[in-house]
Amino acid sequence: MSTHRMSHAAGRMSRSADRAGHAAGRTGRAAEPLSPAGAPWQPGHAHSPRRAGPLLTELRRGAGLPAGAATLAVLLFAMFTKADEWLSDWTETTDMLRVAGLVLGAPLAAAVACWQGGRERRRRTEELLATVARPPLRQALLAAAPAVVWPVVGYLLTAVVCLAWTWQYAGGDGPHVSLIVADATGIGSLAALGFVVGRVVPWRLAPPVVALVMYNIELLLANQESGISWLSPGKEHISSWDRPVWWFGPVSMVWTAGLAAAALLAYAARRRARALALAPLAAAVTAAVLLAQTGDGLWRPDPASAALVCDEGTPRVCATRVHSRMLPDASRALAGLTAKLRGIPNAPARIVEAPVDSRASRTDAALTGWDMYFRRNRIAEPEMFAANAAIGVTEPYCPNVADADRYSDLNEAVADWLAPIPRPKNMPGDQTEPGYTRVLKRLKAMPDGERTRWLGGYFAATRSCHPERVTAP
Amino acid sequence: MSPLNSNSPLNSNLLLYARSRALPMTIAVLVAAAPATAWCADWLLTRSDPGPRARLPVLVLAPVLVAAAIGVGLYSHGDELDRTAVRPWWPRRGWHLLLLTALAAGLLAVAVPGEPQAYGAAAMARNVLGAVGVTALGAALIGARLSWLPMLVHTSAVFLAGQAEPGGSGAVWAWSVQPGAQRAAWGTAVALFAAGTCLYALRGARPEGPGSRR
Amino acid sequence: MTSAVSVHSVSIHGLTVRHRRTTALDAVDLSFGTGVHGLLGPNGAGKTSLIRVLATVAPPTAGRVELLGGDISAPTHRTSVRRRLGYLPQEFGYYPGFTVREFVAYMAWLKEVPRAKAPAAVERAVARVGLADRIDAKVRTLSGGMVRRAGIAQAIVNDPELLLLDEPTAGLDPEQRVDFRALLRELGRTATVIVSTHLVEDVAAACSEVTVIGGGRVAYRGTPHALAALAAEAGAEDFGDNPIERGYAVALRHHRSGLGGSAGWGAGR
Repeated sequence: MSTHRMSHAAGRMSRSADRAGHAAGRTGRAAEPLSPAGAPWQPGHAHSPRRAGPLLTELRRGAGLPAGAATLAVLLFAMFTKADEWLSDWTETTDMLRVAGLVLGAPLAAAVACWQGGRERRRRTEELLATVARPPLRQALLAAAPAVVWPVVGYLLTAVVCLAWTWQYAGGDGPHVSLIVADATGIGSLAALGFVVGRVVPWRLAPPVVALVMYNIELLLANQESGISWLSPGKEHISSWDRPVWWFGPVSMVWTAGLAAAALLAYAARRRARALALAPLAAAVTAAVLLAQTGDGLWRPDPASAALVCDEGTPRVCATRVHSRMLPDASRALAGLTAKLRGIPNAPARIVEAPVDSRASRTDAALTGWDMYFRRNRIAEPEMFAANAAIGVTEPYCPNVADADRYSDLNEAVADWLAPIPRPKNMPGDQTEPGYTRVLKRLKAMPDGERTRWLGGYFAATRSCHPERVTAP
Repeated sequence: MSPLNSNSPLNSNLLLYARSRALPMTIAVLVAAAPATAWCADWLLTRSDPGPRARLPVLVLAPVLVAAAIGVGLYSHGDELDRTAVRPWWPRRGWHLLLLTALAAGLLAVAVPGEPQAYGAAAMARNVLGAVGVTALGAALIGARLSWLPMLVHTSAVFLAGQAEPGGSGAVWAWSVQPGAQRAAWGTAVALFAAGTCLYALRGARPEGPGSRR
Repeated sequence: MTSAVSVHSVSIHGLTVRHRRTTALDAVDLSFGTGVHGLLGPNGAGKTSLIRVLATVAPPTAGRVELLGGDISAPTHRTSVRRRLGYLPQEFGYYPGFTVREFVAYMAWLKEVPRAKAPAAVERAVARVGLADRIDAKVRTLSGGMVRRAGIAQAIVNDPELLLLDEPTAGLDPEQRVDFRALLRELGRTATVIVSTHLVEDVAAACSEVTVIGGGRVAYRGTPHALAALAAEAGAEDFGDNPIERGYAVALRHHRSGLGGSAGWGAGR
């Protein structure tokens, strides 16, 4: 390549010398033989020419590549700032990727695509493009390609990085790949819509307005109370023990991609083919109806991920499969609690993680929301975790208890003895309740044998929801 | 222009300048943005569970819009011609930016009254200052037409950080999502505004259009 | 030269173009065959309107336009014409971030040049305008004249049978214009080349035929030689520095005064 370039440069230097040859050619009107140096304004030497495919050119030049890089940077940064919240859980990773990709990434991609859509107007190539044989739809698809492809690539790279990172921490089945594909489609579709706006609207402010309108529509939709909220492609769903119905990803792809295809066809197809835009529009509307009708049913509880994984201790500590990698730290944090419970008759046999806020059975103590006490599967607040587990141990769900005040004083005192809530010193707490204080004092003062007996009676009474049978310690 | 203005050469010059920079359009966008912002902020407060951060999206996004409107108006049709002008440009550019920013900040602050410590008028004014600063920097460095891009990128990047605890180092880099009382966020916003205004006033917007090789 | 034209690749009957209330072209009849045709005329005479209709950009308000053997109001034939058409608009737009090769290859794709032939066609077109040494330079880095030459390269990349050039020599230096005229003559041997210009030297040196347009009508048609001769017979020594410029002035004057009218002068050869 470089030798070729140099030979032409040499040819250019000698162009004034070739002037005479041209003059001769003009008068003679004969087919001019090429001078070996490669005369200017004449075909050069035969050699294998380099291909510059239009798609590759579009992808390499112009706004696409920087837009993809910006999307990647923005998404990685946003994901990184929230890493502690999603890192240990596939569902939460998928969810956060969805929020970041569609609420943050898609409007940015749409703004850049809108800018790209205005290119022909800005560069004044509209006149030239009106005279070419290639149909307008093909032209539009080619011009839109960089602004659609690169942000999608940016999103997918972000997803790969985040999922690889999550893989080190999360238990369970793996990510919901169909949702990630749907998100990528959503970003591409919104970018394509932005591109069409840029082609149609000759306004300098159009790109940022497109971005802001997309933010607003997504927020507005996602905050609706009804099933319509699921039409927002960036709507989040926070529950680690649910999984989407299998058709959620494909149908939301049809919804967003259908809109984009309809807009592109309506804009760029030839007059007779314009009616074809109705087909993707109809598909999009059908998908939208399906999504809105199903509403929250798009996510279903997944028994497999809520299945319990237990350690070997007594009583056992059990995590759901999603959080199974938190179990070693959880066992360690609860070691003091389980040691105190060991050997007490009628005490719960298991301390289990409950997916939703439900008090467990007679033999189980339940504790929700483990991820609040953990950072990347390592316990971050062991005392608080143990204290909340102790509350779970002492408060089985009993509706309409006779003497509620006494009941709660008893429970709090026992829980505090099992695992005290960490409080800064000299902080006025609720220890001033006389009943609570008395019970706690007695518990601490009792000889071990007597305390074990009393606690056995306590658990027998409270776990059968008859706290009135608990004798005063 | 009305005949009244053409009597005074100063006024008519200013009006010509305003029209050459598409100021009427910019001002129309600023004025229209205020009621839209107020409506959005009220809607966010009517949601089922309005926390103290309910109005945060509006406080972050509305300044991006007004800054973009101001930013795309910072161009000059004839940059080469402008450079040959006898009068120095920097006072005109500086006043242009200052007046529009004051108008935008005032209008938007009125649109989200109250809560000076959290997400209210004070935070809105700060965000307008910072956003205009970043946009003016953008106009000077990458051209007025694309001047909205840096602020949009920054907003997207820090948007989620608004759910974290305010303060700390986040108050410096995520200034636009901090409550109104954060001093560090004010510092960043004011510094950005000062830098943007100075650079734009001194250098003007980067030339654009076909044939521009800079 | 190439005056013995039998087949007209361009024939126009009663072409009228109106922009809102002004009439740019008024019932023009014209035909062009293989060769280089100069289009002269004052600003606003309708040259660009004519070229834009021929380039299939603007539809005619009235009249019949046949290009390369068919009416361009039929979409299928219009597409077929566009494959064989080269066009350099007066205001030539380009993508500054593309290299010359990429830009010309992009236009080749848009013109549906067969994929296998495209790379060689691109290099040939770029070499023909003397930009071979800058083929991998970004268009942004080129001077105004070079950009114009890149524009000519994209116009000829598909070896057009009909080549329309609107003010192609604007921005070219004298030396480049000499080269350009040589290229025009070479192209005119096989294709119909229509060049709109203000520079009568270009017409004199490169064109086999001249059409003068004035006020939306054909003011004169003939060879450059005949146009120059017109000056001598009418005695227009008061205008212009060379015979063609004088002939041009005389033709327009006749046209305006309605002495000849389009019937007398526009009858052609």
